[in-house]
Amino acid sequence: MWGECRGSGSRSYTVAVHVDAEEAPAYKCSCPSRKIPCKHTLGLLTRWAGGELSESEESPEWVGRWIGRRTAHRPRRAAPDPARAEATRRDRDRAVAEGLTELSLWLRDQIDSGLCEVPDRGYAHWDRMAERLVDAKAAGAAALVSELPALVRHRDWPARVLERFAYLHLLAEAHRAREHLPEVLRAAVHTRAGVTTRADEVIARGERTTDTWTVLARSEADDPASGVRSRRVWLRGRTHGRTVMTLAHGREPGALVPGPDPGTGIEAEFALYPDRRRATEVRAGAPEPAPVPPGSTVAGALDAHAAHLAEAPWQPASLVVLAQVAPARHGQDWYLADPSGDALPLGAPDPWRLLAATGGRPATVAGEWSPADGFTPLTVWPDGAPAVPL
Amino acid sequence: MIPTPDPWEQLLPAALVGTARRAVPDTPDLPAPEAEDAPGSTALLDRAALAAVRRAAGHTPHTAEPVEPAPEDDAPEVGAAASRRLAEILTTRAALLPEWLDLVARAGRRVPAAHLPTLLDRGARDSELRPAVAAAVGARGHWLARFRDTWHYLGAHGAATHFDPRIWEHGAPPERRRVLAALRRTDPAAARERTAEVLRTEPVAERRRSLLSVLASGLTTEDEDVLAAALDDRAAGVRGLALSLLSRLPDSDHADRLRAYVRALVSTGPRGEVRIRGVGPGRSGLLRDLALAVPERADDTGAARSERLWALITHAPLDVWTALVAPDPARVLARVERSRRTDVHDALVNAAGFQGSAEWARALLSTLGPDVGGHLARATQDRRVLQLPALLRPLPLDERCAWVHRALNRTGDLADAGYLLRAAGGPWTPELSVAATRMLLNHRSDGGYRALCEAAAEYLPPEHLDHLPPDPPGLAPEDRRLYLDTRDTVLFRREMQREL
Repeated sequence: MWGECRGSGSRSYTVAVHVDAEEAPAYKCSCPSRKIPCKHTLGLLTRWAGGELSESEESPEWVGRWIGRRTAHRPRRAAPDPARAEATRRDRDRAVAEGLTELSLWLRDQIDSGLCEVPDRGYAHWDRMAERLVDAKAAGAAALVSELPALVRHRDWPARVLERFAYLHLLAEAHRAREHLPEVLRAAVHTRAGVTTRADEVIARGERTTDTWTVLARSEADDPASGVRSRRVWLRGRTHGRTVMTLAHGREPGALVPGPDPGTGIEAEFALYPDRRRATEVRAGAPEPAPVPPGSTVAGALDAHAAHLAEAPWQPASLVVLAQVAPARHGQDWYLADPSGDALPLGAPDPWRLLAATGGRPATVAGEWSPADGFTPLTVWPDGAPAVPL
Repeated sequence: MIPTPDPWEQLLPAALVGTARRAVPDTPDLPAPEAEDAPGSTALLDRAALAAVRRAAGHTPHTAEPVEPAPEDDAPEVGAAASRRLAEILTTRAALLPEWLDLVARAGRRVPAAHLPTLLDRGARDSELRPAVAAAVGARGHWLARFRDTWHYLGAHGAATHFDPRIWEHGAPPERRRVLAALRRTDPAAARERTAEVLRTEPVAERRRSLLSVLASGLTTEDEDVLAAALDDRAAGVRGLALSLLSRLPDSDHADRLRAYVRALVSTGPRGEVRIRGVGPGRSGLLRDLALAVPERADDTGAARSERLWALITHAPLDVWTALVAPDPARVLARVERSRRTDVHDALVNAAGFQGSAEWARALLSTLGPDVGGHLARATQDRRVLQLPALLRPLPLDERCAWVHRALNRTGDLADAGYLLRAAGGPWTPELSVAATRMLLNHRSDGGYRALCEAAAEYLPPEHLDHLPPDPPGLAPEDRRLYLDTRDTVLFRREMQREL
């Protein structure tokens, strides 16, 4: 769409917007404003949204020139060649396998010579192994290794380091046996090792699932090292009860659209990643109010995490929904307790928002349960009130 | 049954020493390893992995005591629009928070529960905000504040619904204060007795002070004995509070004693001049009545003397001066000024504001009226006291606004105008509002426009928004920006009022 805008000066500005199915909209305006889109562009969009623009077969020459330039600059997406893609996948799989075999030997060396030597190791000792894994395209395993120096600084470092070694060992062993594993567990091994699946592959080949979903929780985190902000959203299907998680990354402040609010519901189709937990949206309707999701007891939540570990033993935490839980205390520590008296310790920085939202009364609470870090509440459905994101 | 040893505890020592030197321990509790002949390090890592995953998967529930829930709130939460407004105020317009809280309390509503922690934190940082916070957070907010030390200040505001002796005996300090405040409303004498007992027995000074402050509501001369006893308290905070409460009782024996001290120090000379002596350090009765510590050594510097005189004038009922020096406040002030006792004059100005005396405030304001700008300039220059807001506060709103309106007509300085408009407090009368909008739109001089804008942004009643055109002619670019910001704030306040 295009138009001209009469400003305060003598010349009018030429404004155009290119809305295109493949890319984000593009804006062009001859005004000197550095804001994109500028106010003239927004004015044009407003009139378009209001149906005030007339359709036209012809466009001015400057519009045609601009669109032409844009499409010329667009990188051409190569049509995926299945044979080549499969070859790439195999090469990669072999590289990861080699890296993990080296990791396995390295771990056994550490255990043979004893953990008591660990505190004297310099960073170089850990970095060498982590870099080797990055070279082997096993970035996930590399991350687990590069966290080891931080674990050594804890007072109970022997237990933490041995636990991390054990998980790395389990990863290396599981990868060695990958051809014999059930599909879901194999997917977890690949994910943990750092083999990523592209979203377009998931959309093209992943299993589809359609339902009316309740948005259970949303959590955002910044990675200070890379400056990347990531957002996870968990949704539960109201008909079949499946819980999926979507993950989005963004570098610029506005790059992550907020998405549907916790407590709302959407009609949507998702494509599932191979681990059948992560999903990517294929199409979604508008958010609308949703009923309170059904929840479990504390024992039920612990069982759910155990079942999750059976499919992905490296998973530090699971999203669980607790029904009828109230804030509770033991000494100075805060918990969420269900009517039977079973409780989970709270791990979030402080319990005050949870306390304020519930008023100490039983409520439905969605959050992440981690045996190491405790329960992090993310969304509260107070009795008879709308959901409160924490 | 013999408890099976924790496999983790068995594996850890072997891992520390190293499997090259020590055999992998037996872990009968874990499933048997698949490969019997694996090397030691692999066997240990296999078992550690099993133990780690089993530990994570086998986490058992904890036990904890649920907290007592918050009492039901009579006041409903504010609506969704007001709730979003609060979120915006908290992030970008903190200056409007007191007004918003005030509107909530007036509407008989309470703030949304999710915002309570942030609001209580704001109150913890800013003590001026606390009464407004206390009035708007509802029973849920008062309940929440008990759980965190930094929020205990909230107990000093408001009262419980009824006196519960159980809470009085066993409750946390803020709850005790709230039930005492409830008792003070229904049975002032019983509350007084309990306060007297607290003063004798409570070891923590801050708790004595907090409970004593309950007497502030419904204060009568019958409370004098308790307050006089508190003047002997070992904590300065308790003594200071007792003194400020006593100075609200002009019919008390304490007030009579202060009048007597003033009479003993003040004499009038043959030509109408006023002579006032300083207060020496040996006056233990006087020092006690003014909650001042008795100096250890003879502290008889000029500064110490005038400090004691200042305290005496501040707290002694002002009627002693009209009885002693001249029949009305204006002439007292004139004679003090003529006798070149600017220190005493300043102390009287301060006392008029402190004691909230409308009669003295009027007298002072009428002497300032003709030349407000000059007084403001000289006060700043000579570092003297000119507490216009304190002097205006005892007057009714209409009178306050009328005085400021007259003063505005006599000053050309916009910074002074901003100061005067602020001193009037809100909400401005229509006449004052019209005068202020006229000044905003007819700005021709330089400087001071910002002060004027800030006062208008804070106090201009939002219904006057219609008098502020969105595009006024004739303002310099910088002033135009200030003007538009001000208009924007008034608009924001209008929306805020409509939502509540």
